[in-house]
Amino acid sequence: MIHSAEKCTGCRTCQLICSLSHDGESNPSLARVILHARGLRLQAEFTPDCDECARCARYCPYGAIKKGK
Amino acid sequence: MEGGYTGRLMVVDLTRGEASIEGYPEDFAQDFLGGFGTNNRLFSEYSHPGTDPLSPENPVILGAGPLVGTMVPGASRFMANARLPLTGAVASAGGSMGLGAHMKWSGIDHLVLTGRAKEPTLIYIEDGRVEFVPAGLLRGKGILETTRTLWGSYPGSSVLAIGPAGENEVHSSLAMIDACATLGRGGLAAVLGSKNLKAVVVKGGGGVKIANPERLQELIKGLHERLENFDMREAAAALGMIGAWPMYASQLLPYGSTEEDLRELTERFGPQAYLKLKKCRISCPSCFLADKDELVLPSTGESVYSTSFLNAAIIGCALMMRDAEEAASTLALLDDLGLDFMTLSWQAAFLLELHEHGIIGVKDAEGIPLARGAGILRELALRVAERRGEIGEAFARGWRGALELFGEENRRYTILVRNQDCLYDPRVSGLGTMEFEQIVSPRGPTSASAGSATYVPGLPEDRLRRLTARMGVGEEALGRIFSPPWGMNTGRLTRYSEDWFSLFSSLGICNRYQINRFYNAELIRDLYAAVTGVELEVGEMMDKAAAGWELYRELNDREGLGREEDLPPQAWFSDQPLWGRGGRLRDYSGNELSREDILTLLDDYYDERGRKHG
Repeated sequence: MIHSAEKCTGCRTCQLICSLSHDGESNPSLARVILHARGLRLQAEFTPDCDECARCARYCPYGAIKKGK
Repeated sequence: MEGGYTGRLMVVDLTRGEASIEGYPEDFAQDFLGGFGTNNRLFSEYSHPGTDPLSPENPVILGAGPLVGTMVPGASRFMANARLPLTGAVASAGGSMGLGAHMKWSGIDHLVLTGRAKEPTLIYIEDGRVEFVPAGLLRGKGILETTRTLWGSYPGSSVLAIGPAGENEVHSSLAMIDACATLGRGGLAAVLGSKNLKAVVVKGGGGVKIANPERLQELIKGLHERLENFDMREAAAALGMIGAWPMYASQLLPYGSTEEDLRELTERFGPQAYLKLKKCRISCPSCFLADKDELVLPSTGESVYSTSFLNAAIIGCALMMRDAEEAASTLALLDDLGLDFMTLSWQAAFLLELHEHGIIGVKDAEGIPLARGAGILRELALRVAERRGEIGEAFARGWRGALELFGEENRRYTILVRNQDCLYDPRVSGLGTMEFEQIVSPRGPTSASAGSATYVPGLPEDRLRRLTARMGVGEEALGRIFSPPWGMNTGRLTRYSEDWFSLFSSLGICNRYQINRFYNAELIRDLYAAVTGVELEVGEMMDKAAAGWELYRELNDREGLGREEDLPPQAWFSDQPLWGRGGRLRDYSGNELSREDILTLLDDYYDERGRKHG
C-alpha cells in the first residue's frame, strides 16, 4: 500500500475502516496502518499484518492511499 | 448498551489536584443520547444557579457522544458546557478536531473540570490516567506555540489550549483545539483561565465498541457513495467552504456594494486568492469533506492554521483589508491570542461607527487606528487580550464594558442580542433559521440552527419542505410550518432546526450544512442502532433530542435568562447601514418584515416548542 502525505488531510478513515472491518470496533491502535503524527500532518506505515484488502484505499476520501508497490 | 458509549466520566478537581473515573447513570445517556444532551443533564448535577462564571464553582463539562471516535463521517464533534462571562448564559459550545475522539479512545464519554489550580497547570489524560503538569512556562504563550510545544511533549495527542486572552479572563475569549478549531465563543477560555488551566491534552490508545460492525460498514459505504455523487465534491475537496464563494460573497459584501466591488473583493478574498496561500487541507477525524487549512503566508513563509479560509474572507470584507494574506495573518493572530474573531471585528466596526458619527476622536482611541483595514483589528485584539489601556480593559469585559465606557446610548451603533454580537443579518440573507435563532437561543447568537435548508438562500418551497422532512419533522408539523400567510414559517421551523442541532451534537456529528446535508433522520437512527445496539423509532429519537434542548433552556431559565431576553436588535428595523450591513428586514423569500411580524414569529416559535409563554 502506498500513502501520499501530500494528499492526506489526517482524517484517519484508513485506521477506522481497517479496525472496523477486521476487528469489529473503531480502534486506531488495532489498525494495520500506523499514522505517525508531525503536528497535524500524518505519515502512514503499513504493518506486516496488513493483508492489502485495500479498504483503506477505497474509503480514503482524499485519494491519499493506493494499492501498489 | 453494547457499543458507542463508554459509560464512564472523569471528574477532575483542580483545587485538590485529584481526578477520578466513575460510571454515570445509564438513563443520562438513554434519555438524552449523549454529548450535548447528557452534558446538559450533568451540568444540572454539577452546577448551582447564580454561580459566577469565573469562580472555581463554575464547572466545565466536556462530552463526546456515542458516534464520536467511530468512522461515521463527521463524527468528531464534542460539546463543552459552562456558564460564560460574556452573557452569563449557560452555554453548550461545539468543538471538533481530535479531542472528542481521543476522549472516547481513552475510555471516557465526559470530562468534568471543577475548582481552580493554585498555579498555571495543564492536565494530560492517557487511557484513563491523568497527570497534573505545571504550565508556568507556557503562561503568556500563544495557542499555536502552546499546541506545538505540547504535541512535542505528547506525540499523537490532541490539545485543547487557551491563549493570553483566556489567561486574562477576557469575555470574548475562546479556546482552540489542535490550533485550528474554535471552542466556546462568549468566554469559555476565560472560564478555563480562571481555573488556571492552560491546556487539556488527551491521547487515547483504545477504541469504541460497535454493536453491529457489518451493518455500520454497510451504512457508511452508502454515505461514501453519496459523497462520490455529490456534484460539488471536487470544489469542496479543493477549496473547502470557499468553493461556494458566490453564495457567501453576496452576504459578505458591504451594504451598497456594486458589481465592481464584488469583482474586487473576489480578487482579494475569493478562490484564486485562497489557492495562493493554501498548503493543504486538514480534516477532523472521520470527516470526508475537510474544512480546515494549513496556509503559508507568502511574504514571510510562515505556516499558520486556519479554522476555515472563509473566516479570513469574512474579516477581510468586513474591514476592507488589503488582501488575502493580510486577512489570513490577522485571523491567525486572533486565533493565537484566543479571541473570537467575529466579536473583535464588530468591536472594531463599533469604534469606526463612533468615529464616523463624531462621538470619538483620534485621541479617544488611545492610538488605535480609526480606519478600515487590518490595523484597527490587530491593535484592538492585542490590547483586549492584554487588557491594556482604557479601551482594552473595557472591551475585555465584552459589550457591557464597551457600552459602559462609551455610554449606553451608543447601543444604537451595535447589533446585539443578549449582549452578544449577531453573526447573521436577515437584512442581508433573509430570515432563515440561523438568523432567527439568534434571538431565541438561550446562549445568544451562534450557528446552532445552520443545519436546516435555509442555510442555502433561494430554495423553492417544495425543496425546503422535502429537506425539512429529512430532519425527522412529522406531517402535522410540516403542515404548520408551510402554511399561509408565510409560505414557510421561520419561527416554527427554528424549533426543529434546534432539535436537529441537538441530535447531531448529542450523537457527535458535525452540524455544518456541508456535512449534515448527507444525513436524514432515518439514516441517523440506523447509525445509532448499528453503533449502540439501541433500536429507536425516529419520533422517539427526535423526542430525546428535543428533551436535550428543553433542558438547555431550563438551565438558562434558572439563571433568569428566559423569553424576556428574546429581543431583536434595533438595527434590524432601521434603514441606516451599520457595520456595513443594511437594507430592509425581509423573510427567507424576500418579503419585507415588520417588528410585529417578528413578535408573531416568536409566538409561533414558542407555540411549536409547546411553551405558551416561553
